[in-house]
Parts: sequence; C-alpha cells; structure tokens
Amino acid sequence: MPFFNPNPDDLVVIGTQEYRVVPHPATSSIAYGQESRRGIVYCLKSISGQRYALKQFKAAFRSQHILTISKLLQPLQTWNGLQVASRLVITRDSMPELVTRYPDLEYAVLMPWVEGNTWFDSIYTKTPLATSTCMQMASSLTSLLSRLEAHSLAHTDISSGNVLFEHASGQSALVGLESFYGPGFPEPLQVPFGTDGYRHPKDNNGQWNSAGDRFAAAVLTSECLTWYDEEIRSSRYGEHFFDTHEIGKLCHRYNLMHAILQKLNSSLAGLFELAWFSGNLQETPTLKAWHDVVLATI
Amino acid sequence: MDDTPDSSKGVTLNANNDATVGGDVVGHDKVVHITQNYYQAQDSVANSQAYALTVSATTPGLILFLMDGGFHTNKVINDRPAYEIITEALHAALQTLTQRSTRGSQVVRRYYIGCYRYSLTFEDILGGLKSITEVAQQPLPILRSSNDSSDTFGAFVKIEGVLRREISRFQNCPAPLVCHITAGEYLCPDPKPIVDRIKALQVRDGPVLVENVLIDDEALLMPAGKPHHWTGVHDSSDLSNAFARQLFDMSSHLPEQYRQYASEIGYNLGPGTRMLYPGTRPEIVNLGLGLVAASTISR
Repeated sequence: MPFFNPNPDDLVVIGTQEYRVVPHPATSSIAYGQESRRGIVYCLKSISGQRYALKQFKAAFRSQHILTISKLLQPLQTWNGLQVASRLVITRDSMPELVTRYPDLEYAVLMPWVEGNTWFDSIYTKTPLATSTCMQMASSLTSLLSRLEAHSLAHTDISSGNVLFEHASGQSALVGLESFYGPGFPEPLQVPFGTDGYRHPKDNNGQWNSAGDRFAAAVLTSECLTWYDEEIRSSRYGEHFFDTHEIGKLCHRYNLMHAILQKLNSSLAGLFELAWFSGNLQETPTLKAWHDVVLATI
Repeated sequence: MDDTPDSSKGVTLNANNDATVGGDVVGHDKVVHITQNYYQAQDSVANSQAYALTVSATTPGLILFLMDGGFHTNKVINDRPAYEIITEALHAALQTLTQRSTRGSQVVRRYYIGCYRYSLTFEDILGGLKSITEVAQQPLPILRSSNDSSDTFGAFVKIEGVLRREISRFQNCPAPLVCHITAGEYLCPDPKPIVDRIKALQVRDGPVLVENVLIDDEALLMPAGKPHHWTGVHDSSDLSNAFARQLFDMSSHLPEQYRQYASEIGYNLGPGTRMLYPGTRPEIVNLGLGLVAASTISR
C-alpha cells in the first residue's frame, strides 16, 4: 500500500486541479511539510501560483468527523482571519481514484495557505517588532476571538503555531480549526487540552468549551502586546515565552510582562493578573474584555 | 483464588517474628512471591513515568543511527540491494524528524542526530552530532556497502563512547535512542554485553533505548501479513533464527508513549513488545525508523 509521502515538485492532482509540492524553505530536498497534533500539513502550489495547504491526517484522526466539521466551518470562511474555513475534503466518494492510490489521503483537507508568520516564528527567532505592529496584532487577534466568543464559538487550541500575523498590517489569522467548539459542532475524537506554554495551570477539563480560548488568548495577547520590548524577547523560555512549569505562579517572566503591561495600560495588567491566577477557564476574563481594553490602549 | 497481596505492606510480623499475611503465618516462598509482586508493581510505576518528556528546543532528543554496511547489505531483496532499502528508510526517518521540528518556516533544534556506518571499519557520516536544523541543510546521506564482514561489537563500543561523552548534555531531555539497522549475522564477539552497558546509561527521563531493524524477510516465524495489523515481537520464540533472537535480547521494551504514537499513525503494536522490527516490507522498516521520532513533541 503506497504512502502519500511526496517529494518536492511532485505533481498532485486533486479533483480536476493540478498542484506541485512546494520544497521546504529550510531544505529543498524534502517537501514543505509540518507535523501537527493530528497530521502533516503540506504546502502545495497551483498552476496559477496560488499556495494551498493539504492536511493529511494520522490514521487515528481520519473519520467522518472531518467532513462534518468542514461543513460547519464553511459559513465562517468570509470572516477576516478564518480563510482556512474554506476547505475541500478528499473522500472515497468524491475522489475514488486518489483515495485508492493513496488510502492515507482519505479525509485529507485542501485549504488556502495563509501567508504571514506564525507567532511561533516571532517567538523562536526573537524577531523585533515595532510597538505599533504589536498593538495592531493584539487588536486584530482579540477582535477575531471576541467575535467568535459573541457567537458562542471557540477555536479551543490557541497557541503560537495556530496564530499567524501579517507583520505589515498586523492582521491575524487562525489555523488548525479541527477541534472548533460551537453550537452544533460535534465533540472531537480527542478533546483538546491546550498547548505547552498556553495551557491553564489548574483547569484539567479540557478546552472544548465556550471559554476554551480565554487563558491561551490572554497569554498570547500579552506576548504580542509586549514583544516590542527587548527584555521580553531576550527572556523567552524556548519555543514559547513561559516555561510550562511557571504558568500560574509568581515568577520573573510574569513580573516582567505584568510590569510592561502596567506601563501600557493598568487595565491590561489587571486582566493579565486575573487570567494568570484564575481558578479555571470560566473565571478567566472574556475575550471581549481583552478586546475593549486593547482598543482603549492603542 | 490467589489472596496474595499486591504489596509487601501486606506482610507483617507476629509476636514470634514470623511473617504473616492476614494473621496467617506464611513461609519463605510466599514472602518472596509477595515481595516480587511489590517490586514488579514499583517497576511498572517507574516504567509508566519514564519516557514521558517532551521533545522541544529546550529539551532536544538525541538519536544515533548505526547502520550495518557489511556484505550482508549487498543481498538483493525484492530486486533491490538491502543497503538501498536502508538508505531510503533513513531518508524517510530524517524527513519525519524535520517535519516534526518544523514550525512555520523554521526547523527548530528539537533533535540531535548521529549517523554512523560500520563494517570492519566505523565511519561517522555526519562528522559528529548535528542538530536537525543542520542535518536538514545538508545533502541526505548515501550509504555504501562493502564486501567486508560486520564488526557489530566494535561498532557498539564506539556508540557507547559517543553516549558516554555526550549524555551529560541530555540529562534533562528525553531518553536517547540508538537505532541499529542490520541485514544479517556478524562474526565478531557477541555485542550484547556492550549493548547492556549502553542500556544501563540513564538520563532523568529513563535509560537509553536500543532499537534494532533487521532487514530479513525470514526472521519472523509468522510473517507480519498486513503490516498495520502486526502486533510486534513479544517473545524470542516469535523469531526463526538465533541471530534474530540475539537482536531481540538486545532490544529495549517499547515505551508506552512510543506505542501510542504508533497507534496514532495506524499501527497495532501491543504492550510489552520489543523495539525489534524484522522484515523487508517498507511499512515495517519505516515503522522501525519512524518510531525514532515517537517521543511526544512540544505543540
């Protein structure tokens, strides 16, 4: 049984469209692929030069659930920052030849490639950003997340790898929508428990609920707001700003971030403190509260 | 019904200093049985806690690939020499490690790799340990075979040296893994004592793991059939020859975290299986090499 394990520049035909596999930006000898929790995302390029993401799911996550979620996400594709809600799911019924050739592509999803930088990129490389860019990024992110919140929706796995920014405009976008929470959305096969560096330290009930984004967004928004500061950048732990073990505790990084937020707007520092020491996700400040204060700050 | 308690706490001494369980005086054998149960339970707890660390830039994994390049690797399997199969599987493993380390446009230093080939001589292909970031920027290594026999004993001595020199850097990281890929028997002394010394080396996450991939389609008494239904090698009696059984004895038990990863990617390895992957089916060879990346990654 052949695996779908493409090489750079391989031709992939999905439906009637032809795509080429994009080489990895760091090494042209392998395909640009990135393993995520549920699978591998490959970068493809259409004949017209448009880039797409093809997400191939691990065996344990290939199911009808992907098709259901994709249909429910479809109306959100027009929202700013949710362009990956526009998805084409490869199924045995819709593309029998492709699935027969590569059974591990069943339920793979083709979606737009989001141009921009993941927040992970900025943290890992300690990229300096202008204060105005940081404010725009925080504003865009809290705007998107508070809009979701107002519709009783949640991404449920906000983390540096799932949030992208266009640095020129500060515009944000979300990827990794497979565990979306909302009215009518089915419970995912594995309930998301968050990502290292962004997980609530006390709430062990998982993030698949309407308050699931609150803590992670509080941390990530605070990272964005303070990233213009050189001491913040140089203090980052590793792949995320906070060491997993210090989250929810008084520590140097908390004090540093709190002090900079305090300088920006004492209400920002207040929200961060409430989130940091909250007992659970429900007690954590809402995304609307964050968005209102961010707007008042910039 | 066996009323043997699970813990040595069930054993008490009476007024005459006789060992008792529930008030009944018990003999030496029963005390030994109870005590063994206790220590097995402790081992089980220890094993469930081991190999749980996450691979990240601050806690990188160390993986040493040790590849046999002796005359056995010239043997033709399904119209291809074994060394080509090994090369292809190594490339697939390096690709997996690169993709597991890719975040956005970055290849994060989540792994350090050593890559060695041996026959009568020992060759360091990468020129020392290299981060996955550096490995990704180099041309993929091409393996050569030779007409020499394989000094597996000497090769594991060299690997032990590498580990002893480097292991202190990885004390707070996931347990290092040695992945040995071979295609046939060696004529050198039995390397098991050296491998036992390697497996006795420890970091906080647990002892060093040793895995063997054997390119041999006759090693299993019951062929794997559908690779995704194969449950792994649980006992040396599953194997057809003395060489495969030697490799079995040298292979670590598959940690539970690794087994769960195998399950996620569609394999059915059972609990307690050894890290021994015999066969020529690409699914089995790739499983063996793909599992080197099975530590949980930071998300």
